[in-house]
Amino acid sequence: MIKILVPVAADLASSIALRYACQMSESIQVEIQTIHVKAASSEGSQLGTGWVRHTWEKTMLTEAEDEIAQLIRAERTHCPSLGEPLITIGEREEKILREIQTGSYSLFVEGTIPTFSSSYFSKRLESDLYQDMPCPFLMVKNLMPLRRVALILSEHVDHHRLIQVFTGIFGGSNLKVAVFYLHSPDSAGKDGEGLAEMTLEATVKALGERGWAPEKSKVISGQARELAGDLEDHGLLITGLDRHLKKKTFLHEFLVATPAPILLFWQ
Amino acid sequence: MRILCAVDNNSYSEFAIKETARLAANTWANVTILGISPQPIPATKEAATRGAGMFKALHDYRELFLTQFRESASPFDTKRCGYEFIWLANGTWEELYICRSSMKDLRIRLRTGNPAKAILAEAGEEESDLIVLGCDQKSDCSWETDAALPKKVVNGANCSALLVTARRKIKEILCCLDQESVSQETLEMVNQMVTIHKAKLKIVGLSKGKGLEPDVDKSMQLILDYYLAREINPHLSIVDTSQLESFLAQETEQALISLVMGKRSLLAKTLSKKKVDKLLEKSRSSVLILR
Repeated sequence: MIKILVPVAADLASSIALRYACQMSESIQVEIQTIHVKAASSEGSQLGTGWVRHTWEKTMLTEAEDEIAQLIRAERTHCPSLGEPLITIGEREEKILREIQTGSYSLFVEGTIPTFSSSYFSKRLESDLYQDMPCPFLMVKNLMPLRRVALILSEHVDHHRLIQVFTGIFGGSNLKVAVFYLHSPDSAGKDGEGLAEMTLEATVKALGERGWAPEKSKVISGQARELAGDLEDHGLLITGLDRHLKKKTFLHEFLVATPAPILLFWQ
Repeated sequence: MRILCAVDNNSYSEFAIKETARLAANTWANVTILGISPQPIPATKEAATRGAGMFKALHDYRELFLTQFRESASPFDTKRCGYEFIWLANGTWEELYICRSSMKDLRIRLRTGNPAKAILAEAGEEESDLIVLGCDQKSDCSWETDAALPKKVVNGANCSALLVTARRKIKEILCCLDQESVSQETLEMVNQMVTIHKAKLKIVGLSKGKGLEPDVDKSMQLILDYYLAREINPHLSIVDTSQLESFLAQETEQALISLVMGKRSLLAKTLSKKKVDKLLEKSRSSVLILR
C-alpha cells in the first residue's frame, strides 16, 4: 500500500493533483491522505490567548473544513481511497513537512500548473518543503491519462535508484513503461553516447530482472521543448535530481518544458 | 450558427474555404461565401453570365466547398426530389412527388466597393457568428487588393473571426480565454477546432503579478471540467500579462492561437489593437479571435 499525501485547497492546482492521485489508485493500491493548511492571518495570529484564541482557531478550522469538504466530496464518489482530510492552521509548508516527516508517506503529490516563466520549477524545487522532502514527490502539471510511464535517465541520474523508486511505487501495476536516456546536445561525443547506451542497457536489464519489459528504450537528443513534446503520450515521467546541484542541466530544462506530471526523488 | 467566408481571387482564400467547410461539417452551420469586387459591376445579366473574374472564382469556390463533403453526408445537398408516401388529413396515404431543399443554407454572394467595409456590412446584416478569412502568410498576412484588410476586418467585426494563415498541420490550439465571461459558444467553437484538427488543447490563464486570481482559477477549473467531460485533456499554463506578448510570439510557431477579446476582458486590456495587429501579421499559424 502506497501512502500518498496531497495538500489541498479550493483551487485548480489541488483539483488536478487530487484527481491524478485518484487516477493512480486505478493502477496501484494507495491510501490518499489530504491535508489543508489554513493560513493564519498576521492580525489574527496575535489575537488573544486562552479561550479567545481557542475559539478563533475553532472558527477558522470550521471555515476551512467547509471549504475542503466540498472538494473531497466531489472526488470521493469515484475515488474510494480518499480519506478524511487533515485540517490545520499555520504556515503551510511547515505543517505539510511535519506531516510528511511523521506520517510515513511513500509519496507526496502536489499540483503545479506550469507558467511561461521557467522559474516556477526552480523556485518550487528550492523551497524548504521540497529540499527537506524525505520521500519522492510528484508535481502534477496537467491531468494526463496514466497508462504509460517514462523513466528518464541522464548524465546525473542514478539508474539503480530510479528503478528502485519506480518499482517501489508501481510494482504490481500493469502500466506500460519506457526508458529514455536524455542526451544533452552539448555533451555530444562518442564517450557520452557510449555511456548513454551502457546505462540504458543496464537499466533495461535490471527492469527485466524485476519483471518489467520496457516497450521502448532509446537515447534521445535535441531541443528540450521538442523532446518534451515527443514524450507527451506518457502520463508520467520519473527521474532523479541532485538536491544541491546549482547548475541548471539539460534534464532540468526538459523537466520545465514537459507538460506531463513528473515524479522526482533526491539522490 | 452562420459563418461568413470572405474570399478574393488568391490561393489563400482556398484554404479559408476548406477550413470553413470543415467547420460547417462539424457544426452544421449556414454558410455565406462572399466575394468582393472593389470596382463597380453593372447590374446587368450579361455582367454575371460572362463568367469572368470574381463570378467565376465564386462559382469555383462553391464547387470546392461542396467537394469537401464528398466522404460524408452533406447538409448542403441541393434539392432532392423523389416519390414519398405522405399521410393525408382524410386518413389516407398518398405517394407524392416531394422536393426537399438542403438542410443548411449555402449562399454565394458578391459585393462591390471597399472590401473591408463590405465584409463587415455583410456580417452585420446577416448576423454572422464567425468571419473566416484567408491571408498571405508570406507578406505579413495581407490581402492583395488591400494589404491591411484582414486586420481591419478582425478589429472591426462584432463577431468572432478566424484568420487562416497556416498551410501546415495545426498540432495545437492555444486558447487564451477571458475566464470572466467565457461563454458556452466560445468553448464549443474551441472544441470544434480541436476536433477538426485533431489537435491538442492548451488553456492559458492570465495572471497579474502573483498567481491566478481566485475567480480566474475557478473559471479555469470549470473550463477544464467542460473539456474533460468531452474527453479532451487540455494542458494548462499560466502566463503573466507582462509576458503575454513574448509567450504568444513563441507559440505562434506551432499553434493556432485563440484569443477571447470581450470588451471587458483582461486580454483586451492587455493586448492593445496595435499588439493584436502585430500578432496577426507575424503569426505563422491561424488566429481565432472570439467575441
